Amino acid sequence: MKESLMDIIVCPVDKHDLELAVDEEEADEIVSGTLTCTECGETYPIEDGIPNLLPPDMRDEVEA
Amino acid sequence: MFGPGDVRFFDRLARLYGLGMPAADRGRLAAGLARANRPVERVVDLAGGTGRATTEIDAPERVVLDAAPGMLRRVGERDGDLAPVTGDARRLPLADASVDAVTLVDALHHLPNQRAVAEEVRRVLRPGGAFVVVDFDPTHPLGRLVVLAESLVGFDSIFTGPDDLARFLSRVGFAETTVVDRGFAYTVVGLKGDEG
Repeated sequence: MKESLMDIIVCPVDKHDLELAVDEEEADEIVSGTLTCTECGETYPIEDGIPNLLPPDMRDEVEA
Repeated sequence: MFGPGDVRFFDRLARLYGLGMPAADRGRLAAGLARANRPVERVVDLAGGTGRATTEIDAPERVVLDAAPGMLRRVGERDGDLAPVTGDARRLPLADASVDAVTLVDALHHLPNQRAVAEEVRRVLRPGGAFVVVDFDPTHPLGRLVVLAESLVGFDSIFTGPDDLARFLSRVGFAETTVVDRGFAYTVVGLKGDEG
């Protein structure tokens, strides 16, 4: 994902801002990392360049 | 009227339903997006899957949101300019008043809790922003076949006709709703009011 996406994405549970921690970056693409809600502390992974912002209760059931 | 022996019928159905549905074509989506009361710069394609319809949208910033990560991994191969996001349409991971338009192409009937989806879409739209829904009309002869086909393959689909959908969007709070076109596939647009 591009860092500009941070302008619009929020925590799906409480709609608060997310904090970005980058693990791996290629050119201007964030390949892996973690998004943490600044309010509830829930974490959301970025994998293969795609942020997974499914609510925690859905994350496991649709993992494919 | 088409009949089961009519090759054109199946040909048309395969084209529309299975392979590359012209309902997702550039013209249809452009006509829907043109209803927005603001410039359309950032669009989110809900339940956008592999980005098939998203690529047909003419906007500088295009997000494909889907609950299935497997589908989204193919988005990049299709078009490197699309931004894939894994998320639930009923609990969108998007800020209030952050996008100019939301599209939902051939997917409304797959979504459980359509009310929650519509309310979330209205929340994330900016004032004057457009919710563009393209879906199959279950009352159209070809649409009835899609309803049957989907029930046969075990989809738990909920189809809504264009007029019912327009009324539904009004009830949810969209300021203005329009049936842009009708037929086997229809387009309905709901506008968020300027007061938010």
